Amino acid sequence: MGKGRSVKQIRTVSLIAALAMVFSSVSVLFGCSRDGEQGLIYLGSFLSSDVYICIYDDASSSTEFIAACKKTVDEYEKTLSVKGNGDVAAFNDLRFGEKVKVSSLTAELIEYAKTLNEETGGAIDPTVYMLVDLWGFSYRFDEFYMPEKPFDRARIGDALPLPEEKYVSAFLSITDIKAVGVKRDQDGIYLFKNCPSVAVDGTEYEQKIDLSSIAKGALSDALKDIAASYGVKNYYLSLGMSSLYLGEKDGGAWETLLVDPKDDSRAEIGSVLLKNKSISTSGVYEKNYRLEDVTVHHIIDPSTGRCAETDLLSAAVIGENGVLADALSTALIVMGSERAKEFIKNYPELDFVLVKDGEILSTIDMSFVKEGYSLTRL
Amino acid sequence: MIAALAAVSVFFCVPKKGGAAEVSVKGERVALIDLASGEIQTFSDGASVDGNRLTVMTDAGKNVIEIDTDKKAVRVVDADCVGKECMNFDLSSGAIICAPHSLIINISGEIPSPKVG
Repeated sequence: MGKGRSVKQIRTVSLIAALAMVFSSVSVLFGCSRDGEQGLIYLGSFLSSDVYICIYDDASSSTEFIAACKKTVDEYEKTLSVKGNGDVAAFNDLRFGEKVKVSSLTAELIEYAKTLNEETGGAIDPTVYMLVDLWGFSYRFDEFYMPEKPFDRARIGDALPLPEEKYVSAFLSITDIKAVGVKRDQDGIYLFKNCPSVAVDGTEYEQKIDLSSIAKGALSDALKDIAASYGVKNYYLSLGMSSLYLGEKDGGAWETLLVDPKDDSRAEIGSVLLKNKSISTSGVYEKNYRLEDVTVHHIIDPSTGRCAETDLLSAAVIGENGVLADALSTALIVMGSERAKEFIKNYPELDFVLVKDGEILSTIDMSFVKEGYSLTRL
Repeated sequence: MIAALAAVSVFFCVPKKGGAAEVSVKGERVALIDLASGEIQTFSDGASVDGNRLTVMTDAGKNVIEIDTDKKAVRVVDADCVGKECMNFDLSSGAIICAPHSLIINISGEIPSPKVG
């Protein structure tokens, strides 16, 4: 073989290189640069919610970054889902008096839930799971539901007939997060089931937990930390469209749209500008059914065993901490607007948007407000 | 030849404003829909057109998008994702997202605004 290349080959290679440079520079000029992973990317399913990240032209985003995010979503799902055999499922399988070793993630979430349970006067309590299932809002009702448990009823259209009172009071008696013990040993962390089971018509029911009212916020915090470690700044995360983390948009804020709780087409009620903040919402409209004249929704009041009787249609909480925002958004619905207005004074570092019928109460400026709603600044 | 290539790049890369819906999967454009005329251009083997319907097949799954030229709106009429959230919308502006398929139908020419609730 001769040394080097012929002159003709060099010219062809140079021409191709020049064309490639022109093409890519024109592409960059018109905003089509695709270095690393950009745009909308699905990261997985967590507690029946779609998790995705939307990356806005951030050169730090890479395949490794996305893979790290997907791995975390998967770990959280395996650990915290009531399905499968992670920590939550293992705790739920325990009998009264038994214990199970869990990860620090699970233990910390339980401890956090216990603290918030006290701070909110019992408005939030992950041990409502048996009630959530009784009223038809657990994962069993996500797709095809067939009555199988002694307390199950057949659907009438979209609705589920009222449960028998004996089950409501039985499951209420096993609703108490204070009865979940957390103990750190040399060989690990353990959860203890200290709540006695309850019997109805000869069947025993044990206390069960469901962390879905706080866990999405925890996952969004974890993903936010991964983004920070990779240097990715321009993005937002959406977890089931009910817990979001807004990073930056080209260094600025994201105009974040709030869904109108009364509008079936998911139109917007208003928007807020958020940068490097978490926002979580809870609403009575998310999962519900009509039974005669009443709307039965999925937010159970841990003190009554029924869905919360509330004048709030939705509540949004904004702050740096995703878990706190997630937990409080549920608690505020249970409290109702009067109790909520007093309660939020304990958190001056957070922002709140409370929606009632025809009225929005907000501690933060809203960029637009839908016609038909009045805005009261708190 | 360079000029021709540049012109082609401009054609592919400049998003049309107003009356156009861009369909992308994982940030890559797969189709462009002109809402006024109903014309659909595809940029990927996974996208195919049949009348006023666009079928997008990816490794993640399938979505079938229908264009209503009277209302100048788009909707997803079939999807094999579990939640089928994307099938709830009939929009003439904004974005329809199928998260499990990383698919966005974007009618405003910008990255979809975050929505919560």
